[in-house]
Amino acid sequence: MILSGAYEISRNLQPVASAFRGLHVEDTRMLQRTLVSTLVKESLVILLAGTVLGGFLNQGLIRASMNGELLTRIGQRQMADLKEKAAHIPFVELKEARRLFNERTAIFVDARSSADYRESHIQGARGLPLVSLIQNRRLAEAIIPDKSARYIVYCSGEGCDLSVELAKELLSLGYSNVEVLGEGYPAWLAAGYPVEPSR
Amino acid sequence: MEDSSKQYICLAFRLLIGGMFLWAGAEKILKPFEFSVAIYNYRLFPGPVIGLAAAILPWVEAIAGLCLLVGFNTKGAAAITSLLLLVFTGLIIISAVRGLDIDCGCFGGVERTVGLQAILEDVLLLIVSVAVVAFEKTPLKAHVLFRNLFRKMIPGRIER
Repeated sequence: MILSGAYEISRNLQPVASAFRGLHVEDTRMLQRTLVSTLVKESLVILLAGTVLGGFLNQGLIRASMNGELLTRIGQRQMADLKEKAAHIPFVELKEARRLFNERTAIFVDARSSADYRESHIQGARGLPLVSLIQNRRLAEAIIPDKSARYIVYCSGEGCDLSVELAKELLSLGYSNVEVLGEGYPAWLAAGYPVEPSR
Repeated sequence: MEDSSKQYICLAFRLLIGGMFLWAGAEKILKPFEFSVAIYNYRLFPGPVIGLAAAILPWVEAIAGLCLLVGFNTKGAAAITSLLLLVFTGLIIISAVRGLDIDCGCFGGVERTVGLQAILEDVLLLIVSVAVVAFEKTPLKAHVLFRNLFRKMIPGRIER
């Protein structure tokens, strides 16, 4: 794409340049061909060198990505980072969250944007976007008035820290029993657990 | 503008892009797994693509950056940096539109969130990089050296 783009640039620039230099159209065409040929050859040398070196020195990474292990390791790393960020806030496992959902002993709180919440959320979850709460801290009491209830906060998975940040906000507002579902909404959905609007 | 002034400006552009790509590539070469996490965060690519990109892309970046710095294969290197900047800008725009609040993973150790500022910076770098493709005139080229070396190794080869 860039080669054809560069070719176009050179084609547009050459007539102007040749007018100054007194070159004929045939000369400019030859220059264009030389430029494209140079670009292709030089780019290929670099791409080949990068592919050989990178492929040879990162065989483990490539193998892990082919057998799916890389995604598992990325998930684990992100969960570890999230827990480190959460400090003292407890996390709840997906299956445990499902058990609490069935027993109706916990209230789920969606920390994602209003648009994401409207699109789909855990069945019965309350939508409390972190951004909205920061703008209006009274919003929490309007949406989840009982400060002693058990709350499970979630967002878009291990790579998302909205749930942890919302949990911190809720704790600072006096909510005493707040946990984070680290795997978030994608894992809940992938497990086939109830969502609404139902899918 | 005089040809010599244009070449000085081009040299400055070349060194800027070369330095940035060498730095960015070297940081990622040292931490390939961290780079794979950054690619994963875009939530656009399957696992095998993430692994291959994390393994190869940093080396391509670093080699292209080094070539630009030392004046070796400069047009090809600038073409590659332009292509990469085009892809990065596209990815950042897509992620910004999707509302992702993630680090772009452009430079290791520097937090650069996906957004308007990152898009404008990348577009500016893309213009600089394309200018190097269009106007750079460094005579030292790898494929010419390889060709001459090849001719020396096989003396009987007919010169064209």
